[in-house]
Amino acid sequence: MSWIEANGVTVVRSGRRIVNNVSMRASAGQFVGLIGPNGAGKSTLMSALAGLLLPDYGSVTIDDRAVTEYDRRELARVRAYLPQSPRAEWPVSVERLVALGLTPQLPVFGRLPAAMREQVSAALGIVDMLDHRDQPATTLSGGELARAMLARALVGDPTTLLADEPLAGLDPRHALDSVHRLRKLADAGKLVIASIHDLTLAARYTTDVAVMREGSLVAFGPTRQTLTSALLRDVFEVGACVSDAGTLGAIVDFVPSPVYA
Amino acid sequence: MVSRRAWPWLAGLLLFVGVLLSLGLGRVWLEPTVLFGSILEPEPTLAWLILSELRIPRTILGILVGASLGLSGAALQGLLRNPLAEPGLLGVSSGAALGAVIAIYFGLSASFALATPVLGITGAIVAAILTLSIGRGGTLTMILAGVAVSGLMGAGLSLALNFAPNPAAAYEITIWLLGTLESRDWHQLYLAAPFMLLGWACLILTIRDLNALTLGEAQAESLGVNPARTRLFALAGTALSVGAATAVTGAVGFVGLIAPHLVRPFVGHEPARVLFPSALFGAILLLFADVATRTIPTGGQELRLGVLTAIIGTPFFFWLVVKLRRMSP
Amino acid sequence: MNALKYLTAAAFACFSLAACTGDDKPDTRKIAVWSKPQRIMSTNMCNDLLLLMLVPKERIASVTYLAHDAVEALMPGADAGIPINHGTVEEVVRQKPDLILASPWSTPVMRRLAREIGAPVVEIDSANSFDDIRRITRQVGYLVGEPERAEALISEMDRKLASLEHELPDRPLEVVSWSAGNAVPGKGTLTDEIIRVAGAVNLAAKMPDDTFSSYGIEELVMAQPQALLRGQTDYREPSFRNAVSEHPIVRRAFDGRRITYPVFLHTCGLPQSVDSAVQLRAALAELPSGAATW
Repeated sequence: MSWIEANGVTVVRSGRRIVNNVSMRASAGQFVGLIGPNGAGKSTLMSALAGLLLPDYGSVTIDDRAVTEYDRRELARVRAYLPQSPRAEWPVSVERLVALGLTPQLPVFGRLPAAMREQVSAALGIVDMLDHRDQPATTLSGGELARAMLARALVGDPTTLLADEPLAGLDPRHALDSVHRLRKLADAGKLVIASIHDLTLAARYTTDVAVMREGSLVAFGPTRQTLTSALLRDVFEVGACVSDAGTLGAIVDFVPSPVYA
Repeated sequence: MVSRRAWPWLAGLLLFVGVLLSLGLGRVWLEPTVLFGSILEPEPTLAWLILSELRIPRTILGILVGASLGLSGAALQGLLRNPLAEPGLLGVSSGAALGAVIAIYFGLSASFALATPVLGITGAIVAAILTLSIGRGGTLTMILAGVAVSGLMGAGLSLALNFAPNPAAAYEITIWLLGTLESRDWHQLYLAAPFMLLGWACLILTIRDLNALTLGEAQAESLGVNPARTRLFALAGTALSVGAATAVTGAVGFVGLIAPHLVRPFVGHEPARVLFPSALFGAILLLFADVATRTIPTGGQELRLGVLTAIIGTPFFFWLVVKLRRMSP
Repeated sequence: MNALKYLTAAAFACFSLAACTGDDKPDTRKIAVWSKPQRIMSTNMCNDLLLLMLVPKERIASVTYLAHDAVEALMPGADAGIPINHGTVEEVVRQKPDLILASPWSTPVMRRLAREIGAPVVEIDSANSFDDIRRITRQVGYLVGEPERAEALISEMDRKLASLEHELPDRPLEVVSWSAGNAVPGKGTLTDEIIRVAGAVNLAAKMPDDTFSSYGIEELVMAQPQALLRGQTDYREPSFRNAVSEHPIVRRAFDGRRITYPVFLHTCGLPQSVDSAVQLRAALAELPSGAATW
């Protein structure tokens, strides 16, 4: 079992509290959807949870150890982080790109050892990118690149996956595909925390939601109970209608107020 | 074209040919049998003198300088994830140039044999410290700081030329800036080599980080890379190796830019794979350029090394920009 | 089409206009010296020295700031009390000379303003041979109204030249004026002639190409001159000096075989250039015998 815990995490920039006293705890088996309007501080919170950003107040612990106590490489093995819109900077093959997820153990020169090749193949298999393994990463489409990066994150078999907007810019088919995979990973025993803009997908596939507004965590709990119309109306300041949250048939509608009619 | 497996042999052959040409050709033509036969002569002959005191140190220095430029260029292109990056970006070459020019300007080079390279290396280190301290907090900031430091050093150079004590000094400064391996001797090699080797060590230490940076800084950091440390080592490595190189030879550009591009068709784009081949090709490029400066008939005036690399490098740069423009979305 | 014609006409007009206002250089032969110029200004170091040698101080308007060191070496105190100029046009206007001795690169602005204040500008060449020196000294002597002084200086120079020729050394030494492979004076330069007059052979004169060429260390090693000459800009007497910054083999081989000369005696067209040849002859006589050892 493993968990991530945030304790009073606060991040201040230019006098503003971008993340304001957020405390939450998520454990393995959960797929936490981090939702909230733009500027709510989701990306900053994700960076802090990943240990890449030191909060001005508060702390983040993974498995009861402060994230700051982990050696960088150890941390890399325990948790994987995917930033927004990840890019491949050089046209390396998809296989080499995914293999970079094993950087702490990767030999610098020469071919991949057989054991690592298998790990890469397994990761490529999970995201269904085996056909593209020799293709230069810069020639992949948006959806393919997102899948390849996901494979990169999974290749080291981390216990926790933190993904910032992994569905951004994907076609409906690929978005459904990816969010389905993420849920499967959680079901298989990993802890997945992902910030998601598409609330319908969040309502359908996440096990829990963490809702942020102006830096504060306004709600955190199982999707079915937490993701309500009232909460969304409050947070997004627009009429919302949520039905069947937490099931595959969930729908989140935004209802235009009479002003727009 | 040449297959991937054959390229190390090709490179080795080119280096070997380059060394032979560099030892065998010069302003004075000596029969190869006489030249190389002089090694066996019991008494030192004129040919041996030319070989041992002039051509051998020049060849070794050419290899070291070319390798430093290639290695640093590849490291910086990997660090900045930009195929147009080159060692001059960090202000280190200009710092070395200013240090050397100060030695010439104040007449130190006339009274103390190694004044020019020593002050050159000092200038490179000062420039690197400036770039590092101003440019904390990110790769972009570091580049901007490097450009600013380059500008500052350039202003100093212009000042030195403006107030040169006499036309001969101004000429000496200008001509030094154009870069050359002519009349470089063992002492300068002994002085510069340790710095270059130390610089190489720093650059090589970044190799793993450079690969991870293919994923961008955020992901690389999540994989255990410390970007500040990578930047520090890249900067220190460039300052030591390219600084020492420039301090001894003057400003020789474009080699650091071109060498990584020459090797990428053979070894791929992964920064770690590009690093050592770039050093090798940098050495080959510089050797051949140096041989060319000695053999191209110029009607009297010496063709300076920096001038030749600029003449060859600029069209290559144009081609590179056009190619990149076509490739980018 | 109309636009093109208009543009062509405009361009043509501009060019013709420029040609009309272009400066023509005064031909010194046409200048009639009615009386000796009373306020002569020199804007070039070489001309400064000639002027100071030929003309009394009262008739000199100014000399350049560069002249002082050379004057101290040649004729100490000769420039005391004489105003300085920096070769700027403002000084020309302010000092109101009636003759300006300039270098061949004077600017059109200077020439135009000088014409406006009524001062002829004469461009004096630099010398590449003793014949040039005679011609230039005579030219300046005529312009400043002291032709006899000029002739006296030239005779003195010719006398020294004759005595040098009279006592040529038995074996001419081979030398080259060399400083780390930079421009080396070859045939057709004053340095070359001075070396010849001093009784030595200028190795650089054998190069087929230009008057100034680069002569690398390899050539030096193969040619093996017996001494190296070096132009110094600090105007001291020629001396045996070691230039530390050179390549070790050059340093070792030419230890004690270096002769320096004041550069200005080789670039300006001064009668005193013959003194450089005299000094060179003396210095060569004191060289250690035999060839340079490597």
